[in-house]
Amino acid sequence: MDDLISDLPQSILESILTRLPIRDAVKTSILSRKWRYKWASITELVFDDECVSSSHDGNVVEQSLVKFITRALFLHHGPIHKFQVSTCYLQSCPDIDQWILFLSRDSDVRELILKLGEDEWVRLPSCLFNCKKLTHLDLSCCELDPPPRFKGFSCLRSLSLHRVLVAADAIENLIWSCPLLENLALSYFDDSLAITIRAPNLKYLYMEGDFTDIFLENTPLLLSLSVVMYMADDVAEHFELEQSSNCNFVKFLTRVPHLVSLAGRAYFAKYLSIGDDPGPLPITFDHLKIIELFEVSFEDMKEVLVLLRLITSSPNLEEFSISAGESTSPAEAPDSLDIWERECPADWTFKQLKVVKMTDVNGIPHEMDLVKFLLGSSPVLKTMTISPSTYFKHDRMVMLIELLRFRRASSEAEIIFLQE
Amino acid sequence: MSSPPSASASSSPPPCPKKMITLRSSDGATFEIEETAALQSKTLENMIHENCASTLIPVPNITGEVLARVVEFCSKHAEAGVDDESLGAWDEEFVAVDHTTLFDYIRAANFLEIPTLLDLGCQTVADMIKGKTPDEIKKTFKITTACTPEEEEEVRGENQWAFE
Repeated sequence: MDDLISDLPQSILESILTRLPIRDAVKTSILSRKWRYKWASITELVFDDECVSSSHDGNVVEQSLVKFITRALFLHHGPIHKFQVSTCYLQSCPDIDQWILFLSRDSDVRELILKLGEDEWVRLPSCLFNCKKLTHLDLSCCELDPPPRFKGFSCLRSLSLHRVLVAADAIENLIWSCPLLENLALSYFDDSLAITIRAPNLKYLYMEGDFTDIFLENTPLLLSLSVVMYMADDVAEHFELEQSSNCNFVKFLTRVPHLVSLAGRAYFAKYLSIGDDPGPLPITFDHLKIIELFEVSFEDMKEVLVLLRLITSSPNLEEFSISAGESTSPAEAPDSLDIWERECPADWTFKQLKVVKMTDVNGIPHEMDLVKFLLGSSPVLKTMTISPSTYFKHDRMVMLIELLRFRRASSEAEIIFLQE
Repeated sequence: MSSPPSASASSSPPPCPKKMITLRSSDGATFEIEETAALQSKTLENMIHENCASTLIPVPNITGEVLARVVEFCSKHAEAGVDDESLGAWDEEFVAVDHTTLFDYIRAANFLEIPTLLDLGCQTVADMIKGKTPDEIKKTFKITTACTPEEEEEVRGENQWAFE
């Protein structure tokens, strides 16, 4: 049998070598004369802690890794399309500046991913902004300072910033200056942030952290939105006192009418509920198929109302997941309990709703009303899964008995009650 | 139930016959493949869209034995309703072949631009290389050393940082 591998075209070898950890790829240099530099022209370089032998001494690992990456870059020839470094050992190291300078000189790099250590954040050099062909930028634990003359990354499709130290207006300008941006993930900035997003081609948005305000000024094409919003208690209180007449729910969601998927956690439901109830919405979310809302406070009538408005503006909803926040205050006054009858459009049906999941259920009145409403208006429902919260104070049997009486629009609906 | 109107041809159209494409291997064997399956190959997709696919398509680089299997692969991957797990298991079986055949698949996938098959083949080869010593790799792939000891020493020195 012959050697079938050594004479494969470089494009196939590239596909094989880039699927190996880079250390294994470099080791192929020893296989034969032909193999000496096959690794050196791969276009994707992915470095992580696996590149070097482990050690108890972080400094030793850092030094080995720096040596490894620097030597690899020096021996490499040809374009580099993807450069990734993921490690917690590199901290504030001047070599990172040189690597980025090297990449920016040929400026072929399309994907740049730097996930660094959390202790001391590296300030990335301004030559980063010379990488004109970037389509994908993913940064974690570093400092970013776009130069004033920076005109944007004209090819950037995907931007992810996690624990990145950067001024709010700098992020906003960066987002705005990347006209092709489709995918944006922002998480854990140093201070709580109020942010305005202008991204006319944005399709996927993920935000997690301490945001005081999120304004989607220009994101008409957004398909998927996922927000985990934390708020310091004093900020939350400040919002309650402010009482703007414009409900956040309207301000926020009506700007994204093509949404297909919406997920919100922590304070998100509360954030949406700030302001006056808008009444039935003038628009419907015809494309909204999936809604996931976690930590909704069912004792807060404003949050319940937002929930009601949201789901009754989503006629094509297919999957709905909701969990209750911790039960804190006693039940609402009786006259607020008929809001489901009062405020839901008459004869409302969820024509496509098939799956409902309710978790951390406490069996309180608004929760039961939601279950009743969903069961009664979902003719194609397949499963409704209910998991009680660990702090369930209400008698579970009582809740189950009540549940059994609810009219079910779908004869096929299975109600699955999950014990712990 | 009333009988359908006799003159109308549009009340219930007959199911469309699946459009087939014929491929001819290097050794003259012909194989039919559904158009939907053929779309797995970018080369064939381009030809279909430019309407060159109506007659026989010669595939000069690929033997009948390999082409048959490639057609099987594309048809399987174009099938509706197959879950990821069973497709993965099917793929695993597909590449459980001797090296000659595996590399034939890879070359065929490269020529016909079938990304799914190319990825599968290359991943399989990568998995054979991963974690092996250079000697083991040479043995697995029948790579004969064409280096002198001096050359080998030079390469080891050059890449010592990767062997540490």
